Amino acid sequence: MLFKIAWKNVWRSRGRSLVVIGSIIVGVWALLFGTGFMNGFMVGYMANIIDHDISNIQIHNPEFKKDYDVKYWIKDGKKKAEAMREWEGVRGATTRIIVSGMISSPKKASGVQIRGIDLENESKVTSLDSIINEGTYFEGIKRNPIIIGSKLAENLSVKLRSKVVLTFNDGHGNITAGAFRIVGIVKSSSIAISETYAFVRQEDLTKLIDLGDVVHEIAILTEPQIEEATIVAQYHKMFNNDLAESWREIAPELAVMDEMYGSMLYVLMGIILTALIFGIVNTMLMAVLERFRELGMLMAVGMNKVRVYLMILVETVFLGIVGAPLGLLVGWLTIYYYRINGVDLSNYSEGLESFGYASILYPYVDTNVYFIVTIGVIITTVIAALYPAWKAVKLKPVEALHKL
Amino acid sequence: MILILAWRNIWRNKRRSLITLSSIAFAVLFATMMMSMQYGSFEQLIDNSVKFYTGHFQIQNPDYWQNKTLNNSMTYSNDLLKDLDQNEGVKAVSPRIESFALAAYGTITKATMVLGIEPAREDQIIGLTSKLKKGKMITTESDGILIGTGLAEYLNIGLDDTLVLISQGYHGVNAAGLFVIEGILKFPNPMQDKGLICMPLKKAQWFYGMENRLTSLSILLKDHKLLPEVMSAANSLIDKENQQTIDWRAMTPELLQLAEIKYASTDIMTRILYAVIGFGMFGTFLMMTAERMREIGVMLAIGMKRKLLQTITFVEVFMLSALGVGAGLIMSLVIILYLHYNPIELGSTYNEIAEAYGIEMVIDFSMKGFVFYSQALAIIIITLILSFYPLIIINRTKPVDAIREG
Repeated sequence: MLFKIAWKNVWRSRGRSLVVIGSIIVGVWALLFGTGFMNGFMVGYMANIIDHDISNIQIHNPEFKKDYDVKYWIKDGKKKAEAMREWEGVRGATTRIIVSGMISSPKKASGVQIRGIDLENESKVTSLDSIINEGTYFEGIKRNPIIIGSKLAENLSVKLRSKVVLTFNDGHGNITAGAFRIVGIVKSSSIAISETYAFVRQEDLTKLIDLGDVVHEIAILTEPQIEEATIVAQYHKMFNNDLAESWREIAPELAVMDEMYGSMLYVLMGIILTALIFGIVNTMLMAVLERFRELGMLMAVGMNKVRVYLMILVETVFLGIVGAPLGLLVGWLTIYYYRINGVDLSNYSEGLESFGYASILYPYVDTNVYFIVTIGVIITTVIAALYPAWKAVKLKPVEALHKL
Repeated sequence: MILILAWRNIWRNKRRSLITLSSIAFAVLFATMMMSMQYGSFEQLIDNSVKFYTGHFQIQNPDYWQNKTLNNSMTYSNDLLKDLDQNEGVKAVSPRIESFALAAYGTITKATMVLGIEPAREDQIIGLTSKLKKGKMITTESDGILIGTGLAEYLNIGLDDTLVLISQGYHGVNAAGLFVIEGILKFPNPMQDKGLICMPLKKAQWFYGMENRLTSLSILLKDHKLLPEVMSAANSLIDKENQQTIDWRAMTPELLQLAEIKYASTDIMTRILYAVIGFGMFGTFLMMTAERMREIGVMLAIGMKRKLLQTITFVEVFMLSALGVGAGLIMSLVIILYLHYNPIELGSTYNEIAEAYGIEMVIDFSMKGFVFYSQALAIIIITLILSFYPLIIINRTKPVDAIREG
């Protein structure tokens, strides 16, 4: 009975209900789009570093990280990587030889971290092949091909097919050098990739460092929903003596930023939700007060206060139930549209582009956010109705009838 | 006449006006809070980072940034220092010599970074006194040096012990000297803690054999917004042949990158908020108009010109928005003032790491004037756009229908 009256009340004054429904739609949309956007920013920034550089988990010889000395390789590194590829939750594992050295062009020289990579698995883990800006992924040059970052290429003033010389200490402490030809140039927002790495084929570097078939680093890409800690624990259980770390330990500053952004997001959402509450409270308040006469009449003919109170609450909940799915739909459509087309930020800054940071941003939202937002907004709507409903109950029927 | 009518209209129905007013006031409150928070974190990011080491900009030898050797150092005059000190936007100017040296004590040696400074000046940029853990601060004239706790532990050296420093000086001169440890500093950043030595500038000039030369002049501003102004002032002071200015954007590109992202995200989030509060305000405007249909109808029926009625309504809305914005500004001023001095702390497992990278785990609220007036202006504009709704309704209303409906 109460529900029926409430439902009819909602549609009796269409304009008013549509405004409340409208603000709920805008509220849900704003929350979804806002979250999607911030995620897009964060993911855009972090993904560049985590996906293309650090990876989710890295494994080293514990001594290696102190000075990056080539003597400290991972025992049976290749076999371990092989085994890990079969693990549940592991999407890819790749091995690397890492040597610090110098890279020189005829014009200039610069310090560099030389990474001997396993071509096939490297592209699975860091998608190195996808960030190639010029040239190819180790195709077209047979002898000693090398890939370097765009900033490094600029610093050395070299182009595709230019020759560069790598100089470093081999496994026995002797200074060695090798001539390499640039096959590709990568562009990334990660300063490490664009300025300090040089990628060469593992077999080429193996020959030069002369330590046999060793690797210094295993990088692992995990499935998105997997906690890195479980894989790290599994690794430590199976192979001791190695140091396995998740990106949170490798790049704590990123973890800090991740957390800062997370908290900022909550506060931002809080402000938007509160703004939404006030919008709805104001509209409902006007709506209820406009109905003085009507509510007074209902009370005069004997409807008790609890029922009037409940009626107004139920009305609001109905508005929420109608508005929330529509808001979800609009929000989902917007995000879907921008997921395909991207949001173009190029008019905000040329700066971003010059770092290789995509000026086109792709918002994304986890599925569970849709539920949280819907429930959050419906609760918000009910909270927003409490005060106007209480105001309505306080009416004295006679006075209400007299008014207007 | 119009003003009086509009004013009376507002107070004729206090309840309705108060609701509209509060919706405008809260809109201002939310918009300023959001802006203040976003801008606060933006400023926090830049401030923390420039105070961490570089300063807002530096004056260097034009070749220094590409090739940081003492041979690319520069001469400087006290006049330049004085002129910069007198610039209104400048908070601190610190002349520096940055180089490397091998530090030895007993049988242990370690490669370290040496920073020659004028202690009182540098204190305002990277803050030395607050980091002093043992001993006393050095002065311009003292012979001693300051080292990090990590370095002290590694070398197993304590206060008043003598450290040997060996390096290569200006134009390849042999640099060697004995230095007494006067104080031990605790740097939150492990890199600095394990490898930084601070000594008086004069001492460093003597050590490296470079009388009256510097590697850089680091300048900290009162506000990062003053950068273009102060930098162009500095550009007119320096000797272009031997000196150039370089700002934090060029020195720390990763910071610029973050700052740009923050800027874009702030702008977009603000627009989303405008959509929400705009809709909230539209709701009250719509209800306000609906409630007054009868009144509008009667007014038109008794022969009031639509134009006049529209003007009165517009003035009414304008007064309401002015009052609302005023009230909103007062509210937000109080709340933001509180939050500015009691920033929201983020309980964090990463506190130590954050500190090491010079990040404070707090949400800072900015008290900058522009936060307030830009948002007040934005809300007034939104209100005025929304006020077209009642104006259009007045234009369309047929008196007879309106009176019947009411």
